[in-house]
Amino acid sequence: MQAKDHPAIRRYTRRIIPITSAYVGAITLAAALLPDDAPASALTIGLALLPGIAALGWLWAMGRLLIELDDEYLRMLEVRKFLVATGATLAITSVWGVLELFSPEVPKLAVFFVFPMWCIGLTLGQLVNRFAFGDQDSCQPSEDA
Amino acid sequence: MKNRLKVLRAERDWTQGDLADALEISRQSINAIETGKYDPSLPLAFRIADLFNLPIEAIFLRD
Amino acid sequence: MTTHKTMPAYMRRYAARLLLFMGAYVAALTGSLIFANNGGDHAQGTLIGLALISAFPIIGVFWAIFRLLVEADDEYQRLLLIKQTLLATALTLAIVTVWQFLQVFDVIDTGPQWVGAVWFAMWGLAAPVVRWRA
Repeated sequence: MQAKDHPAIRRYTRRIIPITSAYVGAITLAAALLPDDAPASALTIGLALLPGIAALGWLWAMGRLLIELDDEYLRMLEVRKFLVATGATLAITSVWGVLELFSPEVPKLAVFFVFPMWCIGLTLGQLVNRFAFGDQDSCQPSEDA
Repeated sequence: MKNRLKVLRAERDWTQGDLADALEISRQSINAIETGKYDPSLPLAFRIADLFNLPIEAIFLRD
Repeated sequence: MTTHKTMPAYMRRYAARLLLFMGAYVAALTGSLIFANNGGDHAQGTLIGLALISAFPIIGVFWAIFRLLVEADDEYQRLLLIKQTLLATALTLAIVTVWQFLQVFDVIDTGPQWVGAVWFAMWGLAAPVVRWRA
């Protein structure tokens, strides 16, 4: 079995794709439809809430992945990715926060970017798994093939 | 931790994929255990031992 | 075993690092802010330099926590610490999401420079949760 064929990882992918599409769609829709000074109405509030709900959906899908992934080594790789992403996000937001404190010219980092930043951190975690811990990605040919 | 998985596999003419399928884990995991990059948990170590019909200490060796 | 009541070496190293960086943070932040707010205009580069000096100990605190995960040679304690860290992250990301709503509706108007502080608070909160009945 390849790692990507693990049922838990397949379920994760099946969950993440619609959630991500909903997230991108909601943001595009909100940006396109809502002028900056839009009055608060049921529609504008609903549009503004959608990306947040999608972000909660990601959290849920990732939590389920850790619970459902019964291959202990693959689970450890995922956990390490999450930890690396957390460390990177904490470092970036903290440095940025102090920069804002000292210099008004540093643009304010929107809260909105924290979650995407963490997701980029997951890719960093994958690189750490690959290069610092010598994990063989499943896309590479088997040693004994 | 050192282990004899590769030798035991070769004796039975199994690929990493065969062993992975028999244990219902990924080939990636077998590779990590075999190359000593990952130490399996006790439950998984017992499953491996049962599959080869050997005691754990005949598969996993002290450093 | 005669050493069961003393702190394990990894915890002692963690505690020492934490104290060191927290002390450095307070010193660097107050020092830099006093310098930045006195003596007129400072060049942008000076301010950014001061900011980075103040930020360095914060990174140090996070580094100390993640070193703790690496150095904990008691695998069960490490598992608990990792669960604690993951729970803190999940709570923080959930809070950040709600925070985003509040900002969209102009309830609060402050940026994510507090994400680190929220995470610390959640890390503290998660500690007893993951050890409950553990």
